[in-house]
Amino acid sequence: MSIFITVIIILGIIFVSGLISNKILIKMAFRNIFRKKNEALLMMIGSMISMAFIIGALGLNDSFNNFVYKSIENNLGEIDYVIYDRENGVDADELSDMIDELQSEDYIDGVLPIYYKFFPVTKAGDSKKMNFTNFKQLSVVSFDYEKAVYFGMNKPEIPDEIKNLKENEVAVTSDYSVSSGFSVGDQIDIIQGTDPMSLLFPKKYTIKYIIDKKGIMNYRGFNSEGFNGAVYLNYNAMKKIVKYSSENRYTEVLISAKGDILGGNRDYSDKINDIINKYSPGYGISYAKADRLESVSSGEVTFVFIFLSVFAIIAGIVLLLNMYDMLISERKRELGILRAGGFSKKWARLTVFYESIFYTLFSVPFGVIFGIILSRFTFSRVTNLTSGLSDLNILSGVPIFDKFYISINSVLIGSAVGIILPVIITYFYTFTVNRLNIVNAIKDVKDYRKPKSKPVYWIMLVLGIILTLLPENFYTKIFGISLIMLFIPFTVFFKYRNILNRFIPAIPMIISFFYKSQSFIVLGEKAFIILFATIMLSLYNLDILTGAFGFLFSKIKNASPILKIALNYPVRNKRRTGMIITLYSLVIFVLVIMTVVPYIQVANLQNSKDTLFAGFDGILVNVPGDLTGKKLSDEEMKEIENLGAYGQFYFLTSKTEDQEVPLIVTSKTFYDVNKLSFKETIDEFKGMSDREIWQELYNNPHYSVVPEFYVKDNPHFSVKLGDEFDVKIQNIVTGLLGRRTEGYDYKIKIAAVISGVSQSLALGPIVSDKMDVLENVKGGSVSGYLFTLGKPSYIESVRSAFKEKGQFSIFVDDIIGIGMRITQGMVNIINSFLYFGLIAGIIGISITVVKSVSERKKTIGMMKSIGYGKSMIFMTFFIENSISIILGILIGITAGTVTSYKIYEIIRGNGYLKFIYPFKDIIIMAVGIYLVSILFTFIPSLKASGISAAEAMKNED
Amino acid sequence: MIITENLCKIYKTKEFEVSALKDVNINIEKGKIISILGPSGSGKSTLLNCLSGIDRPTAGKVIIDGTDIYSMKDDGITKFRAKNMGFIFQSYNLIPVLSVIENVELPLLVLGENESSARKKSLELIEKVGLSKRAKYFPNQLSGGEAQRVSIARALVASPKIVWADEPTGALDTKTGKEIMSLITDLNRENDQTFVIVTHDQRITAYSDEIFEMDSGEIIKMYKSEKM
Repeated sequence: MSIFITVIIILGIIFVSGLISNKILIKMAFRNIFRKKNEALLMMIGSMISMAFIIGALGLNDSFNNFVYKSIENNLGEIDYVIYDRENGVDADELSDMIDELQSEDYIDGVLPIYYKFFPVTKAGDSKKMNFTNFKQLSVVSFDYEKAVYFGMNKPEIPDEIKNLKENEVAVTSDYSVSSGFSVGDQIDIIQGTDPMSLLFPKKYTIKYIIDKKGIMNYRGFNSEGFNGAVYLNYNAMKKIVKYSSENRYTEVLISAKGDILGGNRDYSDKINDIINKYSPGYGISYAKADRLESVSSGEVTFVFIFLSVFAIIAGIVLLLNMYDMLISERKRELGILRAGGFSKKWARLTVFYESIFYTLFSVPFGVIFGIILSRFTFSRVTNLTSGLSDLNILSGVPIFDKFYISINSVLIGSAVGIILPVIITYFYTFTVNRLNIVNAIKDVKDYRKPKSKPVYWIMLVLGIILTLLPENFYTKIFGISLIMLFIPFTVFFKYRNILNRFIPAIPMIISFFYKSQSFIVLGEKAFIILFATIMLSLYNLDILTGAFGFLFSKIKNASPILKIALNYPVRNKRRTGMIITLYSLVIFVLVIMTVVPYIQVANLQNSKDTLFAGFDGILVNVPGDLTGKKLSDEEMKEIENLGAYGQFYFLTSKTEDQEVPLIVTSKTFYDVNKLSFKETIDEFKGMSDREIWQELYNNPHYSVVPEFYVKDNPHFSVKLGDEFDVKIQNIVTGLLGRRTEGYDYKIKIAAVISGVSQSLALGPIVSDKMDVLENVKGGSVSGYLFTLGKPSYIESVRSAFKEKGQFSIFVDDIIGIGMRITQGMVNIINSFLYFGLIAGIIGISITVVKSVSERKKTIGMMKSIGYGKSMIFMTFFIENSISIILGILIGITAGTVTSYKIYEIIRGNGYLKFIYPFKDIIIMAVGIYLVSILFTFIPSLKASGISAAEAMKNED
Repeated sequence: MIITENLCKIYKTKEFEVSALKDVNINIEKGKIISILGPSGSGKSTLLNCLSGIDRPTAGKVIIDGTDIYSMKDDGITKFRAKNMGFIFQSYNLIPVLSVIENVELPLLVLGENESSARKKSLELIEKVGLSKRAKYFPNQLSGGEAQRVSIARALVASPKIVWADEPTGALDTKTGKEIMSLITDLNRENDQTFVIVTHDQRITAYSDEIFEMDSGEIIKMYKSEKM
């Protein structure tokens, strides 16, 4: 990094010394800026937006990485390797040779065997009261605290309170104590099993210490989802809980390597990996930090940030190109005069280049500040969202993105890129000045050049053909086709090339659309090709498209002379039109994807209302605990006001000879009320209506209906529609002498298959409660009620009623609500960044109009002299701008929709996600963006219409 | 046909005031070619702008065919101009994104003529100015003389009563300048249109019926000329 910054400084010094030697040029460039203040302001805003975009994307990325690094540091500290066996634990003796070698080579500085397990934890007494809402899933951890003080380079301090924990005492992490309101001395229940005894008589512990530390004193399991916190137990007490077969068996063995991945020292890691691979101990090995970093860098969030950064940089480049294209075109006459007056090509070029440097330098500080504000604002919304979600008390917890962070490096890189990018672009772009025909420039006549090929174009074309013909590889093929598409128009000049050009861009578009791939990277590439090809397709067919616009505006007053000019300017200025279209389509493209894809997820989530609980509004769950009398009776259910239909269900465990078959037994209400539809049924049911089939299924308790996944590619149990099989239904009976298991034989036939039912409701066959053995087994099963609400608005009153009766209720709306809140929250955040991106488009179109007005002053004068009125001039600009904006929006929507469909194909997988398109949202977005953009062109257009003809024809600034 | 009464134009800036026209009184008859002659800064272009209705005078009247044009609002003047006047500019002022034929037909479209009829009339005129082979060319594909012919065709296509020409040969070489002036003379003869030409080129006077010489915003001399 320091090399990069040093290079920038050296380049800066060279550049400044270059400036000093060209005082005349500096003076001219500097004065040019203040000649047209409004335009200069727009140029600076344009440069500022480009830089703010880049800094903003880097800031978001930094904040996210900071969160990841902080959480790795907090949860893992010096833990670099985790050796584990989920089922049986790790025998530390088996690792001794490997550990010995690692220690003798001095590669590691700590080994610590530990126990941990996830258990629901709650305030003492909640469990007995079945107050499930306060339950939180926590990591319960323990290790030899005396040995732990030697773990890692920075030996951890372990307080005496923890070292001296008694068997009924615990230490809890501060995040858990804060979120649950516990302090030292409070008591908690740890529910160490799913059986009724564990629930009714949980182990009680007293909190002795609140831990606020990093690393092993905050460890929650290497891939723990336990964001809720950890509980530290006495070492012997924990041994009794985990009950491993031998003394030396542990849940995991943690290893601290010398050096630190986060600190940048990877030397030890490679050597340690070699030794681990040599011994390959037969256990699972997690390269804890490296794995966590890997999973983050290949995760969706990183993908989104990369996508945003690339988008930001491209949008910035296009905006800059557009700005400097207009600047050179505006200065053409002056440059011609300078050239005629003896300025060399280089000097003429440098006048524009230095001017651009000033714009860039002026905009740097504002760009940096604005970029930081932008990313800070966007990230604060992430923080609000995650902390809002954590309030919802989701059992497994939510990571809280707590702090905005931008590194000095990012600011420097962002500023450097923000300076270098425009400098490089303008430097090369100003070479177009070299091509200036001095006479034409002075006369202000457009140069006419016959299109001719250049060797470099041919090289690119040939390269494109070679890449296309290379063996099966999507990247090279598509890149090749893109090159062909770009360079054919500049190389092959034959009579009908214009016709051919109209269709060429469709080729990569079609290939991208039909090329099957599940990779997100290929998808990213496809996305840009689809967008790029759509833009090219539109530009090559601009005359046809503008013709369509002509038809659209043909009914306005004085349409003919207005359209004659309004339609021809975009068509004859393809490069400029192309840049505006690109700016808009780029932003809209990303906005559409960010609207459509989450919408599909949200809409499917909403539609899942009928499948999540089979069309019921919620369920009441009762774990075996009827002893307490807590399960509501039919009569008690009747007393709950505002409740609609309700019916009981039981989850039963049954077994064939070698397979577990989870059964769900449901009452008549389920068969009457559910909204599930049949995928297929046995022949006996052919010709019956769905409701009739449900009644048949209810009346025949040996007939079962199964979810589609159960008969389709079921890796555990190979069954199909029409199969009959015997199961033994299990029942655990708890008595004074302990627990014993009873079994009841039962015959099941798969009579129908349903699609869409959620796996949380049915993991296996659903059978009617007419089942004769139900009475024998229902006492020991998890059971409950499926219910509907009298009206959707009754949700809160019903929830309170259940709570009063100590019931654990889950409502479909809550589950959907959380999902929607997460999805929509993230979308809103990203979209706020993207809507900011629209400023790039708006600045682009504003600069275009402002510069067009000054560029076309004479034309406006002439138009006025031959009879164009004020409103006609205004309408000419209005329609011309509308064409570019609307085309940009339409292209963005088209390419965005196609890409969204490709994303949908990937995320759908083999699932039941439907492609649902948010027509209303997209139309509102498109109209809104059009109106805001056109508003920004109003003032310059009005100014154009107000120019006096005599003034315009003088055409001097 | 064109009468001015005490026409004055004063340009005011923060620092100074310039009288570009001082009590100009002229009378131009229908069907004549008039040259307004004078050195740079004499006010001839200002006079042309005021006469043609594109620059409102500070005081005085411009009466064309009995109509005091500045008694109308801007929109009225614009319509009047579209109907009665054509313009030829020194730098042609062709619209770069329109072809020759499209440039020429523009005034007809402004007047509300339908596209096919406008195209037909324009083609006739383009033929008249000798550019029928260039009808689909764009301005940057034309020479100066050709561009000025297009400009003339555009000025005449709507059959205006008056054609204003500001230095029509200023950007052309002598030979092409002569050709352009001959063309103007021919068209004037053919259509009985009034041409008012602003120039500092003495040679133009040879094509004129009447010459107004200007200096410091005043007509200092008016005389008739023997046409070539």
